[in-house]
Amino acid sequence: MSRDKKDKLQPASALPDPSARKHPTKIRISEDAEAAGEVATAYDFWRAGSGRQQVPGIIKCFGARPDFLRQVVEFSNKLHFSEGHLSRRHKEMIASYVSFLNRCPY
Amino acid sequence: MVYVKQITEDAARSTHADVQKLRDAGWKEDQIAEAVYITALFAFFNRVADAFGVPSQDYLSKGRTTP
Repeated sequence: MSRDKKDKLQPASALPDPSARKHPTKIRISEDAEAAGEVATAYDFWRAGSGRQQVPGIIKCFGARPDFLRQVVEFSNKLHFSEGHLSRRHKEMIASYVSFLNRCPY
Repeated sequence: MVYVKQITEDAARSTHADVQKLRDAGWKEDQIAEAVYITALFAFFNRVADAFGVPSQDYLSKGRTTP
């Protein structure tokens, strides 16, 4: 762990600064409305599975590889969004805790 | 959850004893394995979300989880 413990606890940038609103993400992603071709089809794949319209930001991050985006959706559904050896609630608890530990605002 | 923190921050240094504690607490082998999958899966998502800088969905302020 090169960064010392104290520094690790400070989130690097808790909230993206307002000026970044135009391009909210550091790496370009296709928003729902602007997605086209394979990306749009992959977003629709997620919508069909979830029954929701607005594609979550994390899923859109995989738009550069729509083929992989589908696999991410599939294995997330299979592993996380389902009862397994652990209940979904239990997994959600672990997921939230991990995201807290990783200080991931999303 | 102590184990989840261990795996998140320093999996390489996790030990047989760490796992044994879970067995003693009643965890089955498959449950421990799946807990590791979820822990690693969300490390994957966290890393990608942070690298892209995906804005938070403000679930807390909106008070609901679906838009």
